Amino acid sequence: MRLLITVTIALLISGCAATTTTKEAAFPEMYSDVNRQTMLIVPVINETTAAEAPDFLNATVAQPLANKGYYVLPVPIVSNIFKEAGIVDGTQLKGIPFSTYKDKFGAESILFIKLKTWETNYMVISGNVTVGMEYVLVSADTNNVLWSYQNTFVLDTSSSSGNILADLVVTAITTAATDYVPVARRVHANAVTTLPVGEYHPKHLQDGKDKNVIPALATAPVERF
Amino acid sequence: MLTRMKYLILLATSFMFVGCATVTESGYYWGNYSETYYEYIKAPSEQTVTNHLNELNDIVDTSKKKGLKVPPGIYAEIGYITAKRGDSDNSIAYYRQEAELYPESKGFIERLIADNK
Repeated sequence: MRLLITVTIALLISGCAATTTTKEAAFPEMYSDVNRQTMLIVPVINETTAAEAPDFLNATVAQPLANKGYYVLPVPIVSNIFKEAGIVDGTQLKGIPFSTYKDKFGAESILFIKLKTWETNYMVISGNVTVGMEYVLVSADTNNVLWSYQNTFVLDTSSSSGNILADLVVTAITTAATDYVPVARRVHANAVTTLPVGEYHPKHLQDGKDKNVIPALATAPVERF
Repeated sequence: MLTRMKYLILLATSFMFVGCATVTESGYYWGNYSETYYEYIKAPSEQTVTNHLNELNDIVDTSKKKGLKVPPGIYAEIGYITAKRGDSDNSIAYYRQEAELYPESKGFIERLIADNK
């Protein structure tokens, strides 16, 4: 519940703090005839010291993107293929031409996820995690950025039963382990609200007028990958 | 009056079910996919891979029961685990189901099948 309230407040604040633009204005190539339906998610670029965070992100990334109507190449298989090639962090992919991913995986678009902040805070009866992420979707055909978004927010990881003593124990346990799976899921869900939907989504090519993109957060240069 | 009350309760209950329905906006059922996959990443073992495989099979069964399309990658993952366990005939059957359901996966799937041999 607290998680929901935090997210709602965060959304409200971001909603009135900056002017927004439409999805179509921000990401015109997503409404062109450039192929992008078959999406490859490459290993997370981890710029933090939280070694476990990419696992949480990997385990939860396929669902929100598939739910947005894309064909996501199976993440566990893809990450195994990368692992067998000695690649465990996205940084190692720097400089590889995007067309390689088309040849090797049949990918039409490639999603890079950069983890910039993952800070966990434990307090007596509550806990939270500050997450800073950058998503960049590029085209394997044109090498252009199709969609990009940055996000920083604080998520509450404490549980709330109304019983302070019980919460104390539960917070200590859950904040330490698997409670981050739902956190990571929410991180992705939050980011993909600005992603124009894919072919399997009922609103495919009909969401261009949705006005929820903050321009300053949607401009990642492709050169960094 | 009693029947009306019962009706209301029934209505409220059905709303609750709709409220927590696990079918997503593109019409997929994912079960506990993230949880079992995470457990597997965290501690790869025969036990965690079996748990994840069971979850994948449950996603297929439940999707069929609900008349939903099986989500992207699920059949491919079952095929991949099956292949890793040495059952290449069954694995190819699963791979083909993925490619049939999602034709855009064909190139990738054919590669996996070729690697199998």
